[in-house]
Amino acid sequence: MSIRYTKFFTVVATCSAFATPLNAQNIDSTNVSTKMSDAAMQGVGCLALATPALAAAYAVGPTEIMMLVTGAVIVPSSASQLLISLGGILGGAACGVGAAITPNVLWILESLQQEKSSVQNTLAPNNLQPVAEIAPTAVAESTISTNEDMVQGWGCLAGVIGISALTLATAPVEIVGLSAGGVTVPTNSPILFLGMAGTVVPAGCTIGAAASLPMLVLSRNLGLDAIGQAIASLFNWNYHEPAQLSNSKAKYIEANVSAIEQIKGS
Amino acid sequence: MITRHIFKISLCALIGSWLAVNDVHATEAALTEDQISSFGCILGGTGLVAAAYLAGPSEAIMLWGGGLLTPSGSGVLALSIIGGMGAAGCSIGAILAPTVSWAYQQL
Repeated sequence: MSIRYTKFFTVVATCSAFATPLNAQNIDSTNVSTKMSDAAMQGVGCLALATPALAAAYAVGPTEIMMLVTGAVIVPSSASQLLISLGGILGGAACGVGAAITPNVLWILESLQQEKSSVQNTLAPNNLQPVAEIAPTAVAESTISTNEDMVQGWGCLAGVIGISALTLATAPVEIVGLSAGGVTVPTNSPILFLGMAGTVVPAGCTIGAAASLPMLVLSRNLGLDAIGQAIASLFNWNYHEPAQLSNSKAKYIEANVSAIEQIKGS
Repeated sequence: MITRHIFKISLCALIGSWLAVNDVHATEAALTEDQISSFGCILGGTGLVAAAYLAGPSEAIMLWGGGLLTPSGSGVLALSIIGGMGAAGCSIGAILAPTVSWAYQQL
């Protein structure tokens, strides 16, 4: 019975993990009126991270991972007991992290989409719109909003990466055991990583997200944000300079200017 | 006895919240995302508490908290389960509620 439940849950979790982003993308692209709100997208982010985490846990060894993340020393007597504790703690932790970083993932996807469409427009042969109409649009498109959710999302990511790196560099088995209060020793690396995903990773996300806004204010007061902008400009990230055109959009305008000049000349 | 009462209360809250959300959708009243999240919190919290009582509350709280201590009474058990599983279910439900609401509106 337990194995049957485990297989069923693994299949459902894997299918939903693939289905949720695809459904959201399809509906979003076909009908503007059905666009999801930010909160709804955070729910998708929650499912997109929690379902693979639970599927991986069920594939690798659910009981051992449950004992790692909850600190339990007793073996669950039924599949429902295992699901409640593992889903509640590991699933809830992954859900929280997924929801926190969703605005940033959307921002990255949106930036990539804009870059792609801009390059396609540049290469289009019959694209001869006046520059006066193109330039304001291009500038407006580059103004991707940077709100507090995004700052907290970056903070969450930084916290996750920082605490994971520190844990792996020191004593991961001991830290996971101390965090959950358990005595279970992970038998292999995937179990250890999933144990970290249920203990130190959500802690790092929470700390990073909470500390990000005060750190941002502090860095601005100390004038350190200029360093961040300089680093961002190296990678063409117009994060703090929304009015500045990216390279592809500048090429787009330049191509249109030369085309109009050629028409005038002929 | 208290276990049965808590299970019944959780079940009533679960059904009541679901009916309330459906009623709001049916009448197309303006419901903010925060309110939808609050309903999701109630649904998620009561759902997980009800599931724990259905599966076996003493074992569930021992697995959840990593404890070896058997609860001495129903009140202690109820507070432990509501404090642990209720809070986690509330958090997950609040995050997922806007997505579920959006999916429901597309049907």
